[in-house]
Amino acid sequence: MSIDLGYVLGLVLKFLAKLPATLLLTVGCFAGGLVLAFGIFWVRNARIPVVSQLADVFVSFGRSVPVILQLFIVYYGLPQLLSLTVGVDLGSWNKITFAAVTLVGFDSAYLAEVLRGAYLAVDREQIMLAQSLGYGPVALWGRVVLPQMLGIALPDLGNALIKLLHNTTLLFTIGIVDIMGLADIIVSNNYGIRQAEVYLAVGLVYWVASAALELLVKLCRRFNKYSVLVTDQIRLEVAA
Amino acid sequence: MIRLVPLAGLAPVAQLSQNTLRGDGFVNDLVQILAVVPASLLRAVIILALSIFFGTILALLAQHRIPVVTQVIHVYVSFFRGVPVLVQLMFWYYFLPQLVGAALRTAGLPGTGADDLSADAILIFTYVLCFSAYLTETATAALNSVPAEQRQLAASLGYSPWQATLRVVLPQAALYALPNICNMFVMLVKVLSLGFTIAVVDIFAEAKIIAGFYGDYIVVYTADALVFWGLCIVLTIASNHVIRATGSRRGVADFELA
Repeated sequence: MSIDLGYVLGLVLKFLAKLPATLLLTVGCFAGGLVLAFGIFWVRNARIPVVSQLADVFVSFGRSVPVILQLFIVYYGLPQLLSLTVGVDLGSWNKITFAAVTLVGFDSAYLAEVLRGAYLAVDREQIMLAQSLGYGPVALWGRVVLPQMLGIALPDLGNALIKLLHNTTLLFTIGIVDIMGLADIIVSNNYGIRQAEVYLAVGLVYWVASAALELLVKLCRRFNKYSVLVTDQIRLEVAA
Repeated sequence: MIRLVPLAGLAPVAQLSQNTLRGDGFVNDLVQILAVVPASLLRAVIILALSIFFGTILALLAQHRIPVVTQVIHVYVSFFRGVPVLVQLMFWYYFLPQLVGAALRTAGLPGTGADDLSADAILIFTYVLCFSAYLTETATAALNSVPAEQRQLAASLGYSPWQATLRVVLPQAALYALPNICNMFVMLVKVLSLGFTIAVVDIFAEAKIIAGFYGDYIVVYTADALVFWGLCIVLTIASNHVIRATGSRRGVADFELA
């Protein structure tokens, strides 16, 4: 038993070449998820009948079902359902499209709850005050509510981003050759030796990427005045 | 346990299964998948219990600010939280048998004993290692939530540091950590679905096996999603109940538990 460190290092470099694509997919799906989450949040907040209940069901589903199962439902189940019921053929769709649909859908359910929590944490008096000062809905949301919501939600948004990055490791199961996909290929070509090294290298790459994202979130929090406001408030509460 | 109302909306799917794929597949799938739920829950309970144990010990150790030890714990927490669970699982799947074999040989036993290592054992080992890192963070926050005066008070009443930790600090920290631990349990039940990569049959793997057999993916995976969904709802209701009951027994109002 021994780990061949030189081999691990060589693999790390190989996997690092795949990292930008993974990060791009992560950030892209996160952005898409956030936009969809805002839609869900708005629908639920405005209590639009039927649509709001559907949004509740969507969020509950997305948060209860493991991502891997969601991926399999989208990749294997959805094309089957569509071709058998309405005769639509998704055969021409790219695997990445299925992956992106899954990740955006999953992430939006998760982020919708984050946004809801952040909205509830915004001081009600601020909203009343803004309304009494004659703020219209655009100014109220654009200048009072949203900036505070985002500041409050920053730590959770950061966690969601890292979680999404980790979830990209599942995509190799539908045959996408990302970092894990490449690792899978290397392992099956290794004639049964040095397999542990391959996954150690994958782990190191993901560790560095996660740490970098965490640092980014920390910097955002430092330079976001509302985020600072919240931590100060907590500090005051603890001191009191 | 699962009400019929949500199932009503799935009538078209059940119909599909009957018409084009195979007779009464949906109900059979549900029954077959539900049969593996107890084993999955048991795995989650074992992993959570061990992780709470190790997480608490590591958090207590880190609190003492012993040079090197604290830094090692920090790196451990950062690494096992920063690396996706699936990667950890694959790593240990290949490395743990080597490690155990080498250990056995060092102890003078035949190293082939490592071949008996079951996939379940590797899964539980990996998850305990990973979730102990998460629970170290939880336990640290929980320990910090107990005011330092409590310890001084306990000392003035003649408690030894160990007694103060066991009888004063930990019970209060446990109450603080309870919502987080309940959350972690639900998360574990979901994340155990990755076990299929090393042939551990959980709620997801069972569906994957059935789907591979019959090929009616949409029916099987819908049934599987319903099982996960129902399970999560039941577990969430149960944990809210436990949190409330524990809180009120300790004389803490609901709103303070958040």
